[in-house]
Amino acid sequence: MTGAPLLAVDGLVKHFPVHGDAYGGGSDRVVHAVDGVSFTIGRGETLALVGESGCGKSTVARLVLRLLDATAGSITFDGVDVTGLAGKQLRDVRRRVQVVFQDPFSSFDPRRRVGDSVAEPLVAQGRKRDAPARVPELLELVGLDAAAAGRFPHEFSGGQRQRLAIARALSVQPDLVVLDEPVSALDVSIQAQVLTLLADLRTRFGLAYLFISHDLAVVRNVADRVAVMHLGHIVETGPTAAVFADPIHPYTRALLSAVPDPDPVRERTRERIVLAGDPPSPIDPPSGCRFRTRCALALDSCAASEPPLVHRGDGPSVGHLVACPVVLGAAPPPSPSM
Amino acid sequence: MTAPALPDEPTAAGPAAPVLALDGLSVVLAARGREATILDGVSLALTPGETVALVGESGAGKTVLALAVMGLLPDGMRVTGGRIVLGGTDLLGASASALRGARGGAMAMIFQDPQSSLHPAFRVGAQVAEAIRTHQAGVSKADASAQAVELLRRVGIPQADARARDYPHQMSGGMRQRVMIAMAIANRPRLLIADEATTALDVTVQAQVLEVLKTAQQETGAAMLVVTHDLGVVASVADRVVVMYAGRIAESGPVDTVLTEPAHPYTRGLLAAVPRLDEAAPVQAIPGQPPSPFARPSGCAFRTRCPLADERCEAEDPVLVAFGADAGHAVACHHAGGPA
Repeated sequence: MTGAPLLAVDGLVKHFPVHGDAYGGGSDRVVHAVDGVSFTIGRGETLALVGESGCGKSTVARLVLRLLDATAGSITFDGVDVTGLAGKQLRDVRRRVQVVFQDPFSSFDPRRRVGDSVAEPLVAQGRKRDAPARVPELLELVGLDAAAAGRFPHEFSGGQRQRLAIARALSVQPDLVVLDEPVSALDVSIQAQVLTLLADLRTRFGLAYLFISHDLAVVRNVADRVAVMHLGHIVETGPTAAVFADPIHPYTRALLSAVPDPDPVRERTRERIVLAGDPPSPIDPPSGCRFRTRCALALDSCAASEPPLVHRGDGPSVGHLVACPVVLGAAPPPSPSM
Repeated sequence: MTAPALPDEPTAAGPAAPVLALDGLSVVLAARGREATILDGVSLALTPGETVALVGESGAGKTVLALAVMGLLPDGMRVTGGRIVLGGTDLLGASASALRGARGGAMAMIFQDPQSSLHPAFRVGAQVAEAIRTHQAGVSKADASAQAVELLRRVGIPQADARARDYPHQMSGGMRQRVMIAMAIANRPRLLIADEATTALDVTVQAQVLEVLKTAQQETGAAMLVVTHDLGVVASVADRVVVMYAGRIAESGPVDTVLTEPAHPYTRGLLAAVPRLDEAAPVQAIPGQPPSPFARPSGCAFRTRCPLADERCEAEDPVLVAFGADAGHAVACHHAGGPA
């Protein structure tokens, strides 16, 4: 990637305080939701943040949208640090960064006509006068009938509501759209329709996407680059093709091997790494590498310090970074008894 | 009904007497003075130890079928035709108390959301023990508790004797789903129904729970009906697959046949819409959406979305008939196996 990235996130940290329980028990502790996350997104690029529940991916999305304030770190959008912005400056950035959430049922006001909901970002930007011309255009853009504007959310299926949410996000011509599990609530045939639409719109308008998902196969399908999150950290990142073809981090490998393959023959023969136990709690994460308690390769040294993301090598793996000194050979190899 | 006829009296001694046999099952929903057909003449049979996956999109009737078998249809829905036979007993003619005895006894169901299936105010061990004592007369409280701990151990809960004293909220989703499986197999059911049992779980946890489910089934020899929308899960657990569309069976057969050489355009469409881990090829969407049960198209219900549809599909209901060389492969399509 050349030139300044559209979005640069550097050392992002978000801790949520947990207060003692209502009976006076428990002490005030902290959920380490996001703990030092850095990534960039270029213009027109799709970066997927993938991981399991509780890994912090949605918190990152909310931090980028400034729906939450970061504990530490910076978010730079088109050269401007947005972490401290307010008022008009923040409003300007918000025009350029829009969002589509997972649940198309709760992201529309049930008592408003959907045309009014789609026009809401325009109104927020003081461009209410544009709405009558823009809304029919937007609805047709996402494959809906212009007449749909006069109807209410309950008259639409989940897939159609997700199209409406996309129309709303595009109303103010953003540069970056944060897509937080945009197809997770949809049936597979409808999911494919929405993914196809997102791909078309991206090409047409040069949109960049921050695509948040737990579904690795969906990510494989949409992303240029992928970042795998585990308990508030990025453990592996790189070009999607490289990471999926040659996953390095033991967590990425376990995650990929857990996805069942719809081809029954391959499903019977594929390598499977079944992790033991439950994921550790983000309130009290393990020291050092947070995956070590479930990792078959863990050494004593893994508990000592948090492994940094380091380059894997040159050639096709340029930009492929992994946070595991054990696999990368910087630490002594695991003993044969493992 | 177009389904192959089942023997009137399944002989218990027969080599492959089905555990569960549905014959022409129809279910109707009545709402606001209108009626809609949710299940339309569905026939299928499960033999002991066999796992059948029921797939299809929301609204296809998968969950309604499972609930009908359990005798748990929601208000407004009723069976209007057909038979449900479990181990030789016609469940539709059974008394309410006989049904209660069968549920959790001869047949058990695992739901998607273990959070709402477990009682929040009782320890999980006590809930498993209660399931045992409800169905096995003469088991003492102490014995039931000991059996409960053993069951929790068998579904892979570490330190089962200690965790048996946990309340549901103290467990993760994966652990709670294991408790549900322990409860389901507590009385060695002949039929296990898993309705989207791993859908709400993270993928690494899903992999664990699928293993537990497979092991539990092997140990009990139960037949298993797996309701899912995830074709990966189907390939992972099922022997046979039944693809439903708009309340009918579109295609059924051995899992290898249906998932690698699908003959129904809907099955092909579903498979093409699934994103794959090993290829970046864009997914292919099925145009349109499933019809409302209140506005079912004439003829083949899939014709409004089907690339092969013609006049015949509009005029004539396709029936489920044997297809191709593989035993048990059946397709309901006028153009079965036609150009992909």
